[in-house]
Amino acid sequence: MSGSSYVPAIETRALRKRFAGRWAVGGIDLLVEPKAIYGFLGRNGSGKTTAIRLILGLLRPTDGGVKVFGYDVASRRLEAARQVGALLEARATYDHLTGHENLDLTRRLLGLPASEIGRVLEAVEMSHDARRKVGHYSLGMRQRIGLARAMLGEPRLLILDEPMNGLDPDGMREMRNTIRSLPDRTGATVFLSSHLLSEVQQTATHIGLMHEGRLIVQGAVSDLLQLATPDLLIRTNDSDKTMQILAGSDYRATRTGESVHVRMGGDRSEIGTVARLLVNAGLELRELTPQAATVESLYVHVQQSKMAAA
Amino acid sequence: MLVALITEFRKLKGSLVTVLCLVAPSLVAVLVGLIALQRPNMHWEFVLTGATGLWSFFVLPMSVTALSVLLAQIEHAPRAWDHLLALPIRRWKLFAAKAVVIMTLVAIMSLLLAAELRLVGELLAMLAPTFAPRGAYDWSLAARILGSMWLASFFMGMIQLWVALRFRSFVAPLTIGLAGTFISVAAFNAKEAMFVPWAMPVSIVGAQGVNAAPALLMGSIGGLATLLLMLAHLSRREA
Repeated sequence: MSGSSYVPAIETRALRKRFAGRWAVGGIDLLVEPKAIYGFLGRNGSGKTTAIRLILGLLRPTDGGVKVFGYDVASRRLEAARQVGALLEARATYDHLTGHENLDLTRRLLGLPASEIGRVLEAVEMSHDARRKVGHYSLGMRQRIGLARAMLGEPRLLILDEPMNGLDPDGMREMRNTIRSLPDRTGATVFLSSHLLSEVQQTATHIGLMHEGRLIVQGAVSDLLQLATPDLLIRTNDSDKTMQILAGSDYRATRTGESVHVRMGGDRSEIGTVARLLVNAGLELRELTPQAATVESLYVHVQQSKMAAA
Repeated sequence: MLVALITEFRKLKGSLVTVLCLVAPSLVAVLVGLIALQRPNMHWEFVLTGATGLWSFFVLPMSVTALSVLLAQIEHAPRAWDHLLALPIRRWKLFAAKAVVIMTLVAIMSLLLAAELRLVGELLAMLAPTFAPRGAYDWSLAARILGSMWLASFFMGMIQLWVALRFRSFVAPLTIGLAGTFISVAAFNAKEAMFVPWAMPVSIVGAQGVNAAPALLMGSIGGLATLLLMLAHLSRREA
């Protein structure tokens, strides 16, 4: 471990992993600041889970390396693992045991005092249901018990793989609030993966975007979301004419029934430009709705901005 | 290591493992009781040899197969390996704990069988005295035979556990267990049986006991070697 005061929570160097002749992770340089909430974004199959398994030492890299708080995962796995609590799979609990008993198994393996269970149960608001068998829990409750288990021993880094998967809106809101409060309450760094940009942008302070095994971009949420200008949904009194006008401009438009989708560039002022273009052509605007940005739109915008910069 | 072991035993609470440990030796004891009702006044030594023969011939290998599958599926079914292997604990300890648990459970089942046979004898003496076994129940003989069978089953137990832990599906360990038991039945009384891990416990009482010593030796040495290989392999394997 280095002697300097600043040590990244996670640092990977040209991390690569090859499976069956295909690069699942194709050389990524992750940098996660301490006490950040890092949203690790990407579509399903983009390499997020493989990267997480490499960080946890569950897989060996084909190339490159991983450090967790300065500890090299390959050569000092135990020290690196002591810094980490992980929620990888919501169902990874023993159904025939209670929530309390499930936590107790991990607590014993970590050599922690019994009081630790009460602390983490309270943190995820599961104290009342802890004596019920996990087999009778809802998915949301399982996720929370999984999170509680990851929090045992107050690890400096929490790695959460798709923590909102399968949750209902209430469950998602609760989980989001719990995750958001973690750095302030426990001082932990949170690294959470997701395929939903909307979910991550409400929780994370930083984002890394994976695409086909590569880390396309990473940085502060505020900086990256500027790139993801929402597309526009437009309805007018004449969809054919709307398409004609947009085709004559620089905007790319597609039509679905009476709705026209316009792909926007990186500048939000373009929304007004499009509106003026259509109104000046004599069209009656009936709807002009910015669409929620998605991982795909962020990816497209990042690629566009890179091409423009080149 | 002790912590990993305690954790493994605590996982068994309320699982099918407990049921299996109670039912398997009880089946043998009940069957022996029914046989005794057909053949009055058998000598205890004959009853013990017959009961342990039945135990080692079929119930023990099938119980080891079922135990290995259940112990492995406790982790495979909920995909709990990732959680366990990411913990700051040496991985070999997790797998070694499983090995100790399976052999401890076989030992407990063997003890239960010895006690239940004695109980069946007592019940026959009370309810149908003419069918009760003759002579005194020889605890030392029961301990010697069942203890030897336990040690001889070490090799089979480690092979079964290795396969069960290696493969997420229960089909592989089940197939191997069934095939091993079948070979053991087919090779019964043959001198070559002592080379088949599933037949080693049978060799303690089979073929007039001539294969007992080699079966014990190979069962224990083979078991230890397989255990070490299993720990080395599973600890290094990617999860």
